[in-house]
Amino acid sequence: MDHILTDLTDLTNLTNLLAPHRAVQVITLLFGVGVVVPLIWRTRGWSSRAGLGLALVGSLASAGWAAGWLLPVRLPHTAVVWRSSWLEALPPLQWEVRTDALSGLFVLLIAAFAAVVAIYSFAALEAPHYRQQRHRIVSAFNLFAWATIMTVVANDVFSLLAMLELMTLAFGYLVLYKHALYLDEGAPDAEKETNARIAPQVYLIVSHTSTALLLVALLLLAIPARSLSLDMLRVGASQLPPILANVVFLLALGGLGIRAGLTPAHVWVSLVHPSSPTPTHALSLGIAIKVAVYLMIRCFFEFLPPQAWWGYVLLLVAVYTALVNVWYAIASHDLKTALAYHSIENIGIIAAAIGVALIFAAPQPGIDPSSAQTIAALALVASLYHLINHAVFKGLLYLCTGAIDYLTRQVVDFERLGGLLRLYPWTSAAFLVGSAAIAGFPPFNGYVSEWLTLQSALVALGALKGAALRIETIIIIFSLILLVAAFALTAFCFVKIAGMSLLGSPRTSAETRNQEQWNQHDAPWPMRAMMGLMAGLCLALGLLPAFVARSLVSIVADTPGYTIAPPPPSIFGLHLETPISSITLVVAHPLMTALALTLALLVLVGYVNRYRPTLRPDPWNCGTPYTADGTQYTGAALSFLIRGISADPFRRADPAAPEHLPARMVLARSKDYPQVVVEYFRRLANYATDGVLRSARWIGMWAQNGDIRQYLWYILIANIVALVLFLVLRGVPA
Amino acid sequence: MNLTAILLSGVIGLAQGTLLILAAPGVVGLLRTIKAQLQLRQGAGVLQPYRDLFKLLRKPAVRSNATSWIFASTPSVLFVAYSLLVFMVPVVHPATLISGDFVLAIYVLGLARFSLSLAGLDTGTPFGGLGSSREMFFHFLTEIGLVLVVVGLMIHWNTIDVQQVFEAHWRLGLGAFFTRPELLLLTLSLALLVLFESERIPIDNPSTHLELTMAHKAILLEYAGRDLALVEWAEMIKLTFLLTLLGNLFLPFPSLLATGAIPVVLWSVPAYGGKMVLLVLLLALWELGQPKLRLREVVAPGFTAMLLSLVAIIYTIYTTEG
Repeated sequence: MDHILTDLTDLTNLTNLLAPHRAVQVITLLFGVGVVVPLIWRTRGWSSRAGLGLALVGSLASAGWAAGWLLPVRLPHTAVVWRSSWLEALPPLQWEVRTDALSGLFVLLIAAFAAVVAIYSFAALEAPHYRQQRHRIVSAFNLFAWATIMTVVANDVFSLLAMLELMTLAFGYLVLYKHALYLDEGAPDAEKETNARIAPQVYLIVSHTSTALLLVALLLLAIPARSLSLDMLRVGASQLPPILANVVFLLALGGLGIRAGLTPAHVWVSLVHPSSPTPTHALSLGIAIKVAVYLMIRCFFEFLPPQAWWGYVLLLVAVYTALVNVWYAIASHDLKTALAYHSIENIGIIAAAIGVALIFAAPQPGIDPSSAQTIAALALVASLYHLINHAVFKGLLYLCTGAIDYLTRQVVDFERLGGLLRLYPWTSAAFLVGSAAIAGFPPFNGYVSEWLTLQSALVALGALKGAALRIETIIIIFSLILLVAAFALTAFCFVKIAGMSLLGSPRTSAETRNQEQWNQHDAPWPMRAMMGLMAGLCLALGLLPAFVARSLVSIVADTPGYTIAPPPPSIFGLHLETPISSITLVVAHPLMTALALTLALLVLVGYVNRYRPTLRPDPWNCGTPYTADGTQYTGAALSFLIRGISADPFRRADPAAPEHLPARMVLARSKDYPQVVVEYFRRLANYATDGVLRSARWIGMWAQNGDIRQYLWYILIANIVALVLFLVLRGVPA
Repeated sequence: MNLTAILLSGVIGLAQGTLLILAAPGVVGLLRTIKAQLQLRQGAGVLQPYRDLFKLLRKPAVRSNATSWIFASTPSVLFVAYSLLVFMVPVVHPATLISGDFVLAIYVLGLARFSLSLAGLDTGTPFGGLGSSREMFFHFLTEIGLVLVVVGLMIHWNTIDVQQVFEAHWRLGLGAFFTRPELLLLTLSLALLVLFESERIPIDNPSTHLELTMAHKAILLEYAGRDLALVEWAEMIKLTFLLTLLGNLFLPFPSLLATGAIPVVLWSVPAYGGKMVLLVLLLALWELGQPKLRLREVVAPGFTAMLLSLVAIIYTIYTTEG
């Protein structure tokens, strides 16, 4: 603390601010005070607002710091923030940060989202269901944002894992929210109560499993490099023996895959995230979960020598993830669960593009190395573009969900929503923009990155076919089919989500709405402004792709180090030269604009005719009385056909199956016909959990039974093993 | 290219797209008339769709009080989306107003379906929801099928740019085209997908008036007056676009490579007209001989289209020299 304060006096010299360790100290101080203040003055209204203010200032400072080395991209810079000096004999533990292009992009995104969420939360945390807990939420939010930023700038194994753990703990604290709320107010039903209670446990178990795998992977790299610094890991990457590299790859894929939620490890996400406060979703699911993707890029491209088969494995896992999760997003019956599943679908799309990049990062027979590098760069640009886009449109959707949650007093079930577009026009319009963007339709941003992902897969196809790698080509085609299926289902999913919650007539009657004190008006202005900002970003990222893609090209050229000719800065779309063909993305073409103007003319001249007014009768229901909740289509009915074409392991609920995680998904909570499907992967997880419990019981009964004679045997065996190991390692003395 | 050439090609592209938009009701009129004649009926004449549209455009729109601006704006979205598509394909002259790739075309078609499905749910009535459900179900099948056709083109030509693929086909010529089995398979696949996209028999019956058998039309049922006119017109434009795409891409005749040469255009106008009449005739004959499939069985033609493309793709992969 002392040296932080002394360093603060140097801050008059502004150039010092950009030195990484100074910046880290300033940011740490801001967020640190933000963690502490709301906890100390726990009953005062101002302290939670002060905490949010500090989070806002801290994130703006971080964003400025990142922009300082990212625009334009500067050379990587490392600095030591803290070094242990208490034990000379041990290698020094240190906290080292590194600022390079990739971490810059992530710091910028995380900080921007933290700032948006902070502004939004000034209003959102005033809702009655947050008021009791807002101090704790704000405090944990500060810690979470800080740890996430520090994770992506960490440059040594120790601080990386420590920051990951802090992220886990801070978010685990946020996940406690729902349980604490139910303890105060009582849970609406037993199922929700169970979910809220087990969510923090599940989250901690999953995160620690992931960290354990990652720890082993990184230590396996650190031993040959004889250093904990990630820079030394980078240097040592090319000399790694292939077997070790493969083992580390599998461990890292396991660890990071669990954290990112790649199938079959996606089971935790939709259980854990809905239990955290909705305003923080934009940060946690919008961007923080992608820290795992960031670490994947670091591990697979920098710390390890890439190999082609890794790419195929990652690609297949990723497209499978996308398909499975969009499927369960369709089957979900509330807004938060559906969006949580859907976030993992997008992680799948991002990881698929990384997989394509990984295929071409390694030398392949018959493909010219420089064109392979270009394709890898294209795929990485696609993946990072989708990462940004997903952060923006999913962030927008989470902000809107938070607003709906705020306005309707926590009602997020599709069966009780509907017609929000006429009740809360601004929130709902923003939600619709996010839906169109995420479904990938022009002119919004989702189209750009889906196009880039498809194009990189198609260019990869061209290159592999040219090299007569036939099986590989077919693998890519197979993945492409699954990916497109996921894209198509996304469109369906958002027709369902938007249609059920925003369109039609309200399924909750006006009396019930009054009784439950739903808001009379739309969300307050800080929330509206942030939703508007994100909606604007969706449009800007979709209409000006060349500028974003240019920055991404320079980032990719800096950090994993693959180059593709940057697209010319143009307001008429995006043009890239690949070794197979030149590809052009047409958006905001001047002629398209002209045609859109023609439409405007058409509407003006022929369409809006004030002498022939539009008639507004009641909805026609074949002569029978119209009721909003009984007549309208339900989500289960809407997805009936789509569900019919998929295989059926999802369908039957087995009463004898173990139920550690809730594996039953209720499609519709109708009074007469409750429709239930089974989340297949949760059931698998339940069987796995059962296996672990049974083996633990076995160990308890047989290996650790309290019998002292058995323990004496253990000591004897352990001594013999230690001696043998000692002799083997040291060599038998002559 | 100098400025005059750009302007000239822009004007030509605009002209042929606009003409196609205006001619679209005529194509549907022709289709209905041929069908009527084949059924030994008189038919209402080729110009009847124009009369219908004109009548509807003068009538007030009816939008139930459960609907919002989504429902009101969907007709315009459909009209603009399908009109944009028309400006992407060469019709009788290689110049197009918008140079895009096939992915853009697929996504614009998707945007229209997305918008229409939202409108269906916005009505708050069961028919709208029923239509949305079926519409998005078809969207799932066709999007995969269309992307597979695009993958087939990519594997074959190493590009999916509309202009470049058309040029490649013109260079190949009609005779050589029929010696390439993979391209013929892609043609068949696209033809099936055209039936899907334009909601014809056996997928959907465009002339049904029984709500429960409808898919696409169940949403259109909610529209009235000038809204209905715009939607109907948009549907006609879509059919015309799809037939033009099928005819010009997979019957690459005559070659339009000699850009802007007047004699080629003189030759290509009757050739295009002939192709459209042929396709309309084939469509009419096909529809007469087919019953509409049950809803769940629609999966079969969808997967058939995908399989045709897949066979074409695998054939191309295994006949390419490394």
